Amino acid sequence: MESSQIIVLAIIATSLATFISRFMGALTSEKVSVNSKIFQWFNCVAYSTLAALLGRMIIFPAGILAESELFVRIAVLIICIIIFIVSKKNLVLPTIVSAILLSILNSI
Amino acid sequence: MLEHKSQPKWKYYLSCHFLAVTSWLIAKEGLKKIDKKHRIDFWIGIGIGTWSTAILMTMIGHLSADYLNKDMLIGLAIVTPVYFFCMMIGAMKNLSISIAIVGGTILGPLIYLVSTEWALLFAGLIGGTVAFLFGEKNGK
Repeated sequence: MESSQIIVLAIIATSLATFISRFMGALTSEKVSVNSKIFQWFNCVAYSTLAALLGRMIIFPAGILAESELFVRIAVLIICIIIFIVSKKNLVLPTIVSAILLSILNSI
Repeated sequence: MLEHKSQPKWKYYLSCHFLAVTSWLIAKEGLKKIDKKHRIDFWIGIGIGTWSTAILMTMIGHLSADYLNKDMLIGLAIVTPVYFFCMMIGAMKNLSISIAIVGGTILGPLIYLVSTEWALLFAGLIGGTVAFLFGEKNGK
């Protein structure tokens, strides 16, 4: 199979997966209370899964990020988190700084 | 959170596709100030805003990718994890969520050493369940 076909197939497969789960969510949402235990448990699992993905992206990155050093990535992350806290939870500032900082640190 | 009897169902089925981390957090900040009846319309507005920005920026990114050097591309690649980490730290409002985030961050790479395919699922389930039980026991 050609790579362009694989891309189209991948888009269709992932779209179907997300469409189905979203539709089911919208259908069942009336029966699940925001304050119920199952909702809170799922909330914890969702945050934990996202955190696991991000931890993996920093420590075992795939793609072009793998060409930078591990300690540089962790340093950039920690600096940006400090900026985020110091700037009273401004999201734009640490995001922009992270790209510039890693570009500079990687080029020296 | 969004439901209201006077609103048609199709709005909910259509706008569920707008759900993403950024739009979720924007909505959670603003919802309390909005009258329950109009919340779904407010949500559709957020969704169209975040989607159009994302589509526009994807196009700009795709077009400019050829003109960036390697160090710039590597720099841009860390934006996603940094942005999400900051957002999650902003979301650490109670004990169980905080434990879920810290636990997931540690367990994710750790389980990845054992199984690359199942790391995310197991780290999420274990971290989330431990956090939930801990929150229950300590009354949040």
